[in-house]
Amino acid sequence: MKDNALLQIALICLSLSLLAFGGGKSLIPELHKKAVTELKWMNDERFVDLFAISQTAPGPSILFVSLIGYQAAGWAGFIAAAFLILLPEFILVYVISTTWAGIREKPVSQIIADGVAPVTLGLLLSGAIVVAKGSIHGTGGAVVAIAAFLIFSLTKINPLLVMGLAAIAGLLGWV
Amino acid sequence: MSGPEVSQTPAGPAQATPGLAAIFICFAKMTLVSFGGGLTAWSRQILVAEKGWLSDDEFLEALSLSQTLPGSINANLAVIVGRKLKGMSGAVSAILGLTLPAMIILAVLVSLYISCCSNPALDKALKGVTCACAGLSAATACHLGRKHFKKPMSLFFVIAAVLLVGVFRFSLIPVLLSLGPVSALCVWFAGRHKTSPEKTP
Repeated sequence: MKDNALLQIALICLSLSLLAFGGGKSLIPELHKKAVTELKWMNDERFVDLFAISQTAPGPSILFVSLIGYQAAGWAGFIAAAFLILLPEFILVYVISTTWAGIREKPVSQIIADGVAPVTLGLLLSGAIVVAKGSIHGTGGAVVAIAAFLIFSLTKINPLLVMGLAAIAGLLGWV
Repeated sequence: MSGPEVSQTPAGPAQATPGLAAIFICFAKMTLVSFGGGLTAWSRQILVAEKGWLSDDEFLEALSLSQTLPGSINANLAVIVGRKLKGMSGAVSAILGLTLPAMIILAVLVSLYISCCSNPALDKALKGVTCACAGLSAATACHLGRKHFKKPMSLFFVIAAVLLVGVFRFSLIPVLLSLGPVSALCVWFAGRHKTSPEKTP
């Protein structure tokens, strides 16, 4: 079964790599659908826990997939997921950047960028819904989420500090 | 989002082409200082202000392409800058520098999590953090979308994507392949293709 999981995580990463418009976070709804709903590698709670862990680590947020790979297929899944989510992207970006002279000025690439942007925003908001559903189980959790939303929207405080405060709120049993 | 103070581009002469180790170390450093976010701001600070490997304009051009192409924006940027500095080997060094330290940290964190996840105190603390992450995700989306939410046509596609993917849980691929082109066509018909793309800070 582990080999099967490894193959599946590989296929998921390869197929999603070139669809992550607007960065890795736009993949969260699809990753949740695959890992929790369809393949049942983990429950909602484990999914948001892993997401929270990936958010506290530095580096590209797309590396969240390696935590899903780990849950599905151990360390082989961890490495395969990171490598395969980056490989197609690497090739595409490498090839385009060799021939890109002024590509962003071209109307076609501009139309694609402008056209995809609202859909990407919808995906990011959907990701927030997925994470909220998995994490908020009562008034306390909702208050922490809304407080975090307001702090991130209105101030430039380092997110790690806010997550630290949220951890304390959790420890105190408010969530 | 957190980030470094904006500082002036050095006025000194262009430096010699950096070696592969220097490229790796530079991107590794970029990842490591970005605890808590602000990776893109740090990239500018280190690549332009500190190392002088790119001019401000070159950086913005590379960033704009990174945002247009699919995939992680910072990984795209590493490939573009690495390639510009030293071809294929430079691009590989840059992406390894960006991702390897982050993966080592993720591996340590997930090992700790797996070995301690039955600990009730850790579980409680992490519950608080996951709620904050929900707020953070929503705030990121709203920050990026503040321009689009005001345009009725863009707002329509934002809501359509939220309903299809977030509420009714359709798969990403059919939604992206159907809504994306329709949205792009609408942009084209509306003749709005002269507006500049959204830029992340």
